[in-house]
Amino acid sequence: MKKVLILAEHKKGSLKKASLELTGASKGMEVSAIVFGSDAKAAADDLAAKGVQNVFWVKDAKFDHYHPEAYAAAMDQVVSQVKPNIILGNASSLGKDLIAKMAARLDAPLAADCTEATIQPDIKLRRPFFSGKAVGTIEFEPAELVCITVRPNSLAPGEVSSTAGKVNELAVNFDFASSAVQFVGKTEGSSDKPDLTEAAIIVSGGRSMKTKENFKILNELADVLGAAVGASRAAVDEGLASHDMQVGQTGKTVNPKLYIANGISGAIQHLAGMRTSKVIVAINKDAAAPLFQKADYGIVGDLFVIVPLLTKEFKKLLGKA
Amino acid sequence: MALKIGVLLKHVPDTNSRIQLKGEMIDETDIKYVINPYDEFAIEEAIKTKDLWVKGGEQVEIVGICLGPTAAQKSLRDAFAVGVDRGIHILDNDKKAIDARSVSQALAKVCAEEKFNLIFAGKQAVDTDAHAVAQMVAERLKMPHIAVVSKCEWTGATSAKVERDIEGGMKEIYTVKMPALLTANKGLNKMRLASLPGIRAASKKEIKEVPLPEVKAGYKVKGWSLPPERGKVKLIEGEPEKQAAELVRLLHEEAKVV
Ligand SMILES: Cc1cc2nc3c(=O)[nH]c(=O)nc-3n(C[C@H](O)[C@H](O)[C@H](O)COP(=O)(O)OP(=O)(O)OC[C@H]3O[C@@H](n4cnc5c(N)ncnc54)[C@H](O)[C@@H]3O)c2cc1C
Repeated sequence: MKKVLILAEHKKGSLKKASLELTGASKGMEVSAIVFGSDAKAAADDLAAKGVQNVFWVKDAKFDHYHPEAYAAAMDQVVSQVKPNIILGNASSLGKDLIAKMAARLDAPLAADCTEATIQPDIKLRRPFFSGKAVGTIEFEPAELVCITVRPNSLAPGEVSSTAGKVNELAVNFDFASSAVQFVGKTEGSSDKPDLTEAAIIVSGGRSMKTKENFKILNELADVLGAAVGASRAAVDEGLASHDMQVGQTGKTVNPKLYIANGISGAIQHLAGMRTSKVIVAINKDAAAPLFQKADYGIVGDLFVIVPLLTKEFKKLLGKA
Repeated sequence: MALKIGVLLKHVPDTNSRIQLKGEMIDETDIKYVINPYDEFAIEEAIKTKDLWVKGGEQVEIVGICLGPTAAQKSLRDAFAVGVDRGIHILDNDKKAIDARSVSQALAKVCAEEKFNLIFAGKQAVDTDAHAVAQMVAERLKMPHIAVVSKCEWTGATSAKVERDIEGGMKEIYTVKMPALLTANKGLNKMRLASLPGIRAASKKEIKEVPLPEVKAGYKVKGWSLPPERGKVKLIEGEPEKQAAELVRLLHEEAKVV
């Protein structure tokens, strides 16, 4: 039976939904997981409760923040102990970096940012190429160990088994003081909303928002839906939104179940970032806007009229009025 | 002491290109190729760093490294025009290096011979989008790396303070001592335009062509397809109030996403 090692992630202690997509994919398998940070106890317990047999919790506060070499040293220790056949992570800031590093260290094949992933009984992977303009099936060459990262919101969350596993505290041998890299600090995020790359719903605005203040109507709609707010590059370049909100080729790649685009024309580079969204809604006053060709639902109209009405209707629907 | 900066750059389809299939393969006939947009930030940062060090009395050379078919030399020439000094082209007309594993093996081999003090790369290439090759090169060279850098500030002769973009608009801040590899994100800088003398000089700069080293790809890509087309858009007509109410109903009852 193939053995899986999951790189799990948490936010302030609570296990990310994207990590549960990985446990779901490993149902019934022999699974270990690693999770970092002194504040990760709840996440570690949750992994064990979800049937991960061996949870390795790196509790040392020096590991509260990402340090590529130090985290790789921890992964090394777990890899040599459990000898996994698959290292599985999310295509997140952490997963994309650390799993690539481990793939090189172990000289293992790596399939990054898969949008379709089955790992048992056989591995079946598909991933986008050319920013989603084509999709290809990955066929690994024979290998003892393969590394896979999966784009958040691609798989159904689930548990490995109903039998709880155990949490092991992992002490890692790493000399932080003599490392060429030192962590100095972290800036706070710009919003309390879910991150774009993990959000289930995204409300986004383009150049047509005209001012930064006007994003307020998108924020209000997003708050009702528990959504994240995104932007087109034109909106970012004109200073209406910050770069971390940019969706597209040179911004974030998102994968929500619902993407509501307000006054976004639908340039190919914007599509590159959001085309895998399950349902796309386009609101645009120009009936000829290219995004209508790629959308599931559309309203030809003025976003400044439509968006506040949507907020009102969703409030009614969700009992928040 | 002379300092050497490496820049990893890739020749990729212009982001405006339409991708089409010919049988089961990607049809490349109509694709226009350019320097990977993220590599432009890497090139610019290399030039800025060189300028800074040269001012400090150092001798600095920037070497562009590109793996790809013969046509990929165009990206090296374009990089020369803005200030990269010379190039190494790892020739792979047969597309043997097709994944992050094999590409990183080849690049690391060539980088090791050059003994770079500093390497810049784009955070990802917009064709394969693996976001992995540069980190893997660093690891194979046993060089520390920080990826997705949007700010790089030299604080000493061999150390820099860098900001890495992560989820939620947050930034992780590190100090890094050379030798090191950094991958560039949008926001780091904007690549300068080539000057006329720059363009003229570019045709005279040296490209060393080297054969692809022995590499082992980790996978094959089979079964290409284009992303599934969505059905025709359902346009919602009527007065704005009715449109909004109907859209909410459809998202709830038909699409079941709210
Ligand atoms: C290398 C490269 C990388 C790029 N990367 C990205 C990227 O990551 N992300 C990205 O988004 N773009 C990217 N672009 C830019 C992209 O090509 C487009 O320029 C950009 O997406 C356009 O943004 P927009 O839709 O907001 O603006 P526009 O194209 O100007 O469209 C504005 C739209 O708003 C509509 N509108 C105006 N007023 C209203 C109103 N009151 N109500 C309703 N509708 C209204 C208009 O009809 C129009 O369709 C990139 C380009 C290049 C060359």
